[in-house]
Amino acid sequence: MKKPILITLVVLTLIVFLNKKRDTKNSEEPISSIPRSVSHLFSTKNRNPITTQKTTAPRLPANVPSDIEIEAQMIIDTNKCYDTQICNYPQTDPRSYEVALGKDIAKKLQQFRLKYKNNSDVQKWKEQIARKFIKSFDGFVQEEALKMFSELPIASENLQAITQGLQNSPDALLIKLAIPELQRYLGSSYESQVHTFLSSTIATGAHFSSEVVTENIGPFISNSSYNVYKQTAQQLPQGSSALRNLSTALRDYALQQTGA
Amino acid sequence: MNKQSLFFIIISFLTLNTFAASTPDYYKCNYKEGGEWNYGRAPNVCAASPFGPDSTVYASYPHLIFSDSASRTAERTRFITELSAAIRDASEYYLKKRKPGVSSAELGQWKFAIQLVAAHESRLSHYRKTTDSRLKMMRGDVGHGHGLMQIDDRSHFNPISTGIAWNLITNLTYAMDIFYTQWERAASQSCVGGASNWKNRIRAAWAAYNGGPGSICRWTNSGSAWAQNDKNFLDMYNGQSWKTYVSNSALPSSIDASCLIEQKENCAAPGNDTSFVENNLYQLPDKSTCAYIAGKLHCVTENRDAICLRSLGNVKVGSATAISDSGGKAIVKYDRHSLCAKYDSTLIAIGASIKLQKNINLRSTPGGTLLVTVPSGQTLQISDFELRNSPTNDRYYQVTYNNKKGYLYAGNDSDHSTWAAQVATPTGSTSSLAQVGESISIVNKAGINLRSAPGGSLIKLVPVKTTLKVLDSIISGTNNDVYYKVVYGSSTGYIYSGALLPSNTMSNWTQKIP
Repeated sequence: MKKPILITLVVLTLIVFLNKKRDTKNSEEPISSIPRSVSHLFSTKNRNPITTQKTTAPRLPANVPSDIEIEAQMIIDTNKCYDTQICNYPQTDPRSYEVALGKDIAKKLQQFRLKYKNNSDVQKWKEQIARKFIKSFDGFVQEEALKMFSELPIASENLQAITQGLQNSPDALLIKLAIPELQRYLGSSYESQVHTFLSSTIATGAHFSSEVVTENIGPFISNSSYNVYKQTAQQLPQGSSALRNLSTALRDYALQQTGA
Repeated sequence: MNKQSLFFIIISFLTLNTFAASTPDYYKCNYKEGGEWNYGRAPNVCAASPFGPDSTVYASYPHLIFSDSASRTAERTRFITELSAAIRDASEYYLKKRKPGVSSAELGQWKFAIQLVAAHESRLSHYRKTTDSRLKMMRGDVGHGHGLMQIDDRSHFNPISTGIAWNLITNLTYAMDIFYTQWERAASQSCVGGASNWKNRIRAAWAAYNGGPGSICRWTNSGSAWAQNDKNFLDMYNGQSWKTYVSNSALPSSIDASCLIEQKENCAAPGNDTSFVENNLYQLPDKSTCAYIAGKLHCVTENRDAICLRSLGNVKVGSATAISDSGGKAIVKYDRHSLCAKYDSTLIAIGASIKLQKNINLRSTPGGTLLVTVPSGQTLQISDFELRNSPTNDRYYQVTYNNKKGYLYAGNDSDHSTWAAQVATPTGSTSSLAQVGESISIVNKAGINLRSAPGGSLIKLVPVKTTLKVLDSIISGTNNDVYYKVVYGSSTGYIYSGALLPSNTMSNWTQKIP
């Protein structure tokens, strides 16, 4: 074996070893130090941290430990990588950059949520983060935002963010995950927003999202919402799976009231 | 080896390591074969069967499979003409559903855009029967892009694993769900310059489809790393080269696109009768399917039960002509349960139990993706049935095994006993339907009405928490409604106990008492 090739292999082995060690550490520990979590924000072209450029994200409350604030702000700022497209994520194919960015954000959200799971002091940051990332275009990121919402008390702003973020979502699995969260708002003063969102998703939402909502619509049908969904059913095409699911649920509800 | 080469290798290594946990290249790709970067045969193809049964493809899309053994040029023209017609119908149904009242201008541009994207992504390639006689499906981008619209298994692994990209129409529908989001976003992007600036809007929506939502204005940046992709797309937009192979753009589609979008399989092909023909099938606006026999329309609610209309005569079940009204003909409606039992006396009724005589695959739908293989000897209760393919009468039963609900094939008229045998349901089993002699309790808060017959005259209300013994059960209607025959006080009658389809609602009504 020629000497340069041998040296190359040694270098590669070392790099792979170090890289794996770093990944293992990341997977076992929550975010604990800012420098490591910002390292990906250095572009290979420009070694300046991107977070120093034009920060427009909302400021966080001041009366909190600074490390939490910085952690939260770091996650929020990572979202800018979608616009700049110059963060240090692979550009091996047209989707690789955003796929890797999404996975990174989702991972950070999960780490933040788990690290502060039982810490009520960070509720406002969790709300800010969840409200921002539920509007992401990445389903994995939105899923993490939903999990964050599920650990927060219900709130008008949260529901508004959820319905805006999931409006027209083509991700039926995500919509299915949102159903329990939306159920939490039944009986609250915000309930009508839930029905507006669901009926809109059924009538003109993405095909598979519409299907999954109608498959799970039963708990949302009540005396107050029955007519909303009945009108929604009238907008659906004959022969559609959504119409069949919704009609059956409405019929079942009506029969239950009268004893069939 | 110079420093640049070494740097390249290191970067490549790090990148590969980053994606070590991602979907592998050519995931579930058996019998891979190449092709040419031309319409209908874009490289590569892999066996379709890991994602769904070939029989479903042959039944649903007989004209939408590119045959490698046919004359190449003629086959390409035939295939692209057929596929183009199917995409045209599917994209029109889709947008009209999502955007009621859409302008004809937008609808036309949308239909063009979907054809264009399919042409660009896969050169209109999906199913292909190769010279080894295997049915294959197109896989691009190192195997990550699945089929016609190149659904990427790195971003959409879960839907792909359920067969969404395997079935041609769900591949297209899922992609339209994604593309529509970008289509709507593009309308208000400053780089597009207005919702009706169609060319820019299509380019923007595709850039986001290709590169992710953040790439919606990528096509305006000639310095983008993926500028060549946008240029190639523009070339396709300008050249519209697929049209070279469309011999008749007005050709009626060989598939009922709206039915397949909604039901995913087992839809009759569109018929083209101009007047009523004895024993032919017709579809009314409410989507019920009717056989024209002796001056009347004999109807079932769903197309999937049309085969059972053969109990009334020699009905041709391959295609159904859509009609706007009954033309003054009398309509006779049939209950699927009694009609199908009359058509095939070997069909086992819902509520009965079967014991498997061999290992059988449980699928999400009769022709859908594999859920699990159920071992021989298992006893399972039937919650739905479906008959397909006359005259063999292949039967599928819906069952639940290990909390997975799906359909299993149970043979045809000649060999059904070697697949599954009817047995008594074990007492105290976890089946949802109560057996004769078992007890149930009323769960519905308002109670349940005791009636003289299913849907018959009212006898009295049975209050909540009442315990009753089941004397018999009747399943009826499209949703497989369950009625129990019971005695309450001095009265004998029937109580409704929920439906088995599209989802089981029995727990709202009664519960079995162990």
